[in-house]
Amino acid sequence: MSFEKKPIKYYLQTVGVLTAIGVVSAALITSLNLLTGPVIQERREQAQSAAFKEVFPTLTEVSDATLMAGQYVKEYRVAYEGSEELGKIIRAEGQNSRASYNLMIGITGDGDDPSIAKVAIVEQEMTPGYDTTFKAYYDAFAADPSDANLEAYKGTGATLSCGLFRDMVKEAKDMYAGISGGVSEDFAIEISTIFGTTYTYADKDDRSVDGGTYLKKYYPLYNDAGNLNEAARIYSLRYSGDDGKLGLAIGLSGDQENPVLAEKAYVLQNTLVENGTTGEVSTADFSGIYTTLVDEAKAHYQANGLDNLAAKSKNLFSTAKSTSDATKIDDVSIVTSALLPQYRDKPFENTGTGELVEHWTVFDEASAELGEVYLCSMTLHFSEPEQYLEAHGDATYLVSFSYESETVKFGKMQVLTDTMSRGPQWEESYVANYNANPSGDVELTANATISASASQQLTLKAAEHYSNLKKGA
Amino acid sequence: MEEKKRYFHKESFLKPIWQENPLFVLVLGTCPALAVTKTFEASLGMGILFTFVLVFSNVIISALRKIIPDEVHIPCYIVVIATFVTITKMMTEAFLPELYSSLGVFLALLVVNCIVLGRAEAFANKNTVGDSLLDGLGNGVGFTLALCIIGLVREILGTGMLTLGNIFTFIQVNGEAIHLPILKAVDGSYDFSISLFSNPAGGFITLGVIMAIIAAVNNHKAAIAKAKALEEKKRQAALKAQQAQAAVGGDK
Repeated sequence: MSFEKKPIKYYLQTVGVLTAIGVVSAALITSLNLLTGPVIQERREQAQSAAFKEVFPTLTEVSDATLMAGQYVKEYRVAYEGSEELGKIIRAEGQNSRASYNLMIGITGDGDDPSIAKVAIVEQEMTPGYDTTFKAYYDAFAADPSDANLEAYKGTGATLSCGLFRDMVKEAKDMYAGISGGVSEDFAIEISTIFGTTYTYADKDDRSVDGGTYLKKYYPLYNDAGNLNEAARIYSLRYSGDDGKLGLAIGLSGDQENPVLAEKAYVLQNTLVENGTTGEVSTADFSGIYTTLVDEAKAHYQANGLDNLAAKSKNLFSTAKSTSDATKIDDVSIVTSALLPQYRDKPFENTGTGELVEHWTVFDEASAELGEVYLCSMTLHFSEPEQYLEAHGDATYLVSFSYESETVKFGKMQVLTDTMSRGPQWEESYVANYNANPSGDVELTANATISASASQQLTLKAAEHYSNLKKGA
Repeated sequence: MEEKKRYFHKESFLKPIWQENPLFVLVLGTCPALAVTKTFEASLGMGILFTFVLVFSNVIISALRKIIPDEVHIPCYIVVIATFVTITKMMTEAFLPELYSSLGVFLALLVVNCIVLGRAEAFANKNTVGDSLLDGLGNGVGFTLALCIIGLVREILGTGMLTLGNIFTFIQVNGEAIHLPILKAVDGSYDFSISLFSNPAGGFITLGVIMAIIAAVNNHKAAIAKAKALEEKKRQAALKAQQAQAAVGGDK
């Protein structure tokens, strides 16, 4: 290999031309920036001010931004009307595979009892097709920014887009406590203190409690991977009086009638005594206000028992009183056949799978057997040519059966989770029709044929399993 | 010679508009063509900005073609193109913010657009400033036309109506965008729209169908031209044969 020797003039020219182009380019862009920079800045400030006004229409002044280090929450400002504080405006940015948002979240109220004033969307990008669904969800929340409307993202059919919005607002609400005299909670620390690693929990799954004196919210804890079987709870309680403040997290588990208080609890805040410490405490030492707080949590637990599979399966039989332990089912599954005849020979992915996870028996007050409940899980991977990836996602549901005159009788069905693209249509029509008249040949829903057919095949499999079980017995 | 030069000027401008359309015939620049053609206005906006970048980068590269050393011509082109893309980006963000947000990242990605780089390398690098300007303009108009056709089809089929004034706000009436109901009534009394066309898959389908139509038209034209040429060849051969026969008869 040989190199051609070039004169110095060539290198000077090369460097000179590149430098000259670079310098001219930089000069051009810099001078243009002097012209457009202030316009762009002004436009951004206008958009921001409009968002502030949208959140708190009567505001007259906003403080400088203070940085925050949340997953989505970036900074907050205090909004004033004259000298009176209206609330905080928290800015949150977030994105996932379906959407990205830049939100201004206005929050008012006490740090331990915040309420959303308004959420303004400064910027929003979304996968085409989901914007209408998100708008319906957002409009309902904007009209009434309640926790119920915020949590309604699950049934929208755009779970990821609406769920991201929900997570961002929820984080802002949680972090509001830390900047408004409330108690910041770190659930991971609290659960590990109180229950160790016995249970799992879902991120941002805390539930607000309305009307409680000391009880503000609780965290459901699960003992299964799918977070379907609530097994315990952590209750978050607040006391505020002339003698000081107390923030306490306690754990309850066990029967609805006789809740068991976990041996350890976590003090989030304690100004009842001088230099009150926070952290792990033993519940054996509880007395006075501590006991009062625990009693309110226990009362809630007794009134609103755990949302577990046994409780859910009792709803499927009107006279149910108790259930047996669940029995795991191995290797009973289905692979759905190609469902739309016109696509059977097409080279599109056209399948779904489903399995029977476990089953248990339900008894009445006299311990007589009422029937059997099956936990079913299905996953669809269906791409059809005319509707871009229209049938995909997961669903789990319970289906009940009874055995009369040596025949399996179909009972009610309850959907537990549903992230299927046609989930809302499946639930609204097929599941509703099935529950109105349970049978193995309920007409398949026109707008959710694939989802309905998969659940029908799985339900028939469960009926067959129950029949074999009874005949075997 | 003068006439040939004029013909070349004309070809530089006209060919890319239809015969060598960068998108429909050469299948270049499909990324922005699928991404930003959800609406007619965004397509038109992208086309105008693309034309601006292409014309100016072609002109500057052509003007500098004799002083840019061969070994660094690609970096030089990129710097020139990037400069014009940055200028376009800044101006759009400042004065047409709705267009800026609707184009998103695809405006910045013009820096590496294969049509812009391709015209710099294949044409501006070898031709005069005037021809390069016409070539840039022709390709820009051709690409804009292609984007607008796809955008128009997708918006009408996808939303059922044509909306004007969402991006180019200066054409709003009483501060409201103009909605032209075509397949969908404003009051929702009828709706024949197909939302698939608002999705990327709809972009692919539209592009494919239009390309097929253009290919069919071009093939049909080529077949007619070929048939005509064959006819002419046969006629010439027959004429020659007649002349030869006449010549033999004369000899007799």
